[in-house]
Amino acid sequence: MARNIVVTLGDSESTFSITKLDRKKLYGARKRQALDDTGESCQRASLTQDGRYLLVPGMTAQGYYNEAGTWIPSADIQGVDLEGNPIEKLPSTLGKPQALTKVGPKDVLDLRVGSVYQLEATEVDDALKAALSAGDMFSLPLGHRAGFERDTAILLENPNGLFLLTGKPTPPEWVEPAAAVVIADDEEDDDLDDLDFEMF
Amino acid sequence: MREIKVANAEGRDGTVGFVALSHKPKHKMAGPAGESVKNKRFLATTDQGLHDALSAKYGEDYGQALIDADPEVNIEEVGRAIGTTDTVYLAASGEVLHAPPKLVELIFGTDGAERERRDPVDTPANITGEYPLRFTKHRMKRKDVVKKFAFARTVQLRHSDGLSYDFLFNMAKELDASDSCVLIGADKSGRGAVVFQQNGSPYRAFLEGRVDGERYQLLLHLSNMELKLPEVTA
Repeated sequence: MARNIVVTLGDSESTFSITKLDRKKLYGARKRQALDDTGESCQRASLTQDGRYLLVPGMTAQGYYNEAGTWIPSADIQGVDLEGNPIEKLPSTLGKPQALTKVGPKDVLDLRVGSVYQLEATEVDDALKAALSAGDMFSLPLGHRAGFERDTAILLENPNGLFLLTGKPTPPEWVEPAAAVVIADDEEDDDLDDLDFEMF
Repeated sequence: MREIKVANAEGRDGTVGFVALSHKPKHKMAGPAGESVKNKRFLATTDQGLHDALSAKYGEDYGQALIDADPEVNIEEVGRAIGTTDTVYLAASGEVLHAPPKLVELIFGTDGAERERRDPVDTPANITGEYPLRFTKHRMKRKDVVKKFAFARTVQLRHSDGLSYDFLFNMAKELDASDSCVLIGADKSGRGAVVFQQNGSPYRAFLEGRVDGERYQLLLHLSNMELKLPEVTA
């Protein structure tokens, strides 16, 4: 189902509908299937190491536990920053205006792309249309639903159409040079005749 | 640090380290008093609480039975944390297979229809084998490559000593100066896709370099998807 994103460049708003793209739609798919002796498909399951439970899909769920091993209901779970201070949940960005920031190719290369969307322009400001056609790329925050952290999205255009790449930034760290090995440079010690072999 | 064998533009090869770049979250989850919590898998129901068992016992319309008596909840078992598990396969009859199943590879078209069944062929990793990953003749400006491919992963190459520092720094410097990425090829042909682990996803890899004084970043950007639209079938 197509959903809308609303972006602002300067004071002007533009709206796009977004539809998810994936490899299956572009190239098809390949998967390995296990068959039993009769040629029928097998079901994948998990066996706990104590042999107590044979787990098939639908039998398990995820939950939060404290250090004492007590389950904490999801409604009581909160988000905190890395210093432990509570943080507010951010609302979904869909349908709400999000400011565009112009970015360069390195910013796009630093994004670990999780999803790709094709965009249909519903209502696009002329300035944004011209900037995208000229090759400019823009970033905006994206949250499909409320959460403690948003994805980064990149809006760009190529000859095939308009695309939105979403994911998390993974900026690389600089690699420092290896410490140079110190070369002995003792003026009093540059005579090969003085090399001591008796010590061996 | 894992190793990767790579050759420079002159065809000199070397084995260097690499790390996968990952996102560092700026938040974590906590309990109501701010205490740290861990996400764990737990038993939500036993096999007697699944649809097949419930419909066999109460009929297809068992909604009211769930409301009246919670038959899907086994209070002695539900909520137990699930630790490490082993993968097993169940035959169509529901029995656990005690011998490895036969594997087939199914090929699906873009319309989702099955096109072919064939015996699976194992794809070995090719980042440390006989042939180094090497430059191809295909170079693209950074601004062009980001509009042609979606990069799902990036690995950063790192040196382990002075020689490998010079090797990687010079590659990064040359690529940075040209503001371009070079397509890296694998295998004997030098054109193969890069596979990091046995039967792992094959990726097209583009090497990009950045330098800042004596510091460098040499990045292998990995893509398995072009930025294009699906073909429209009539």
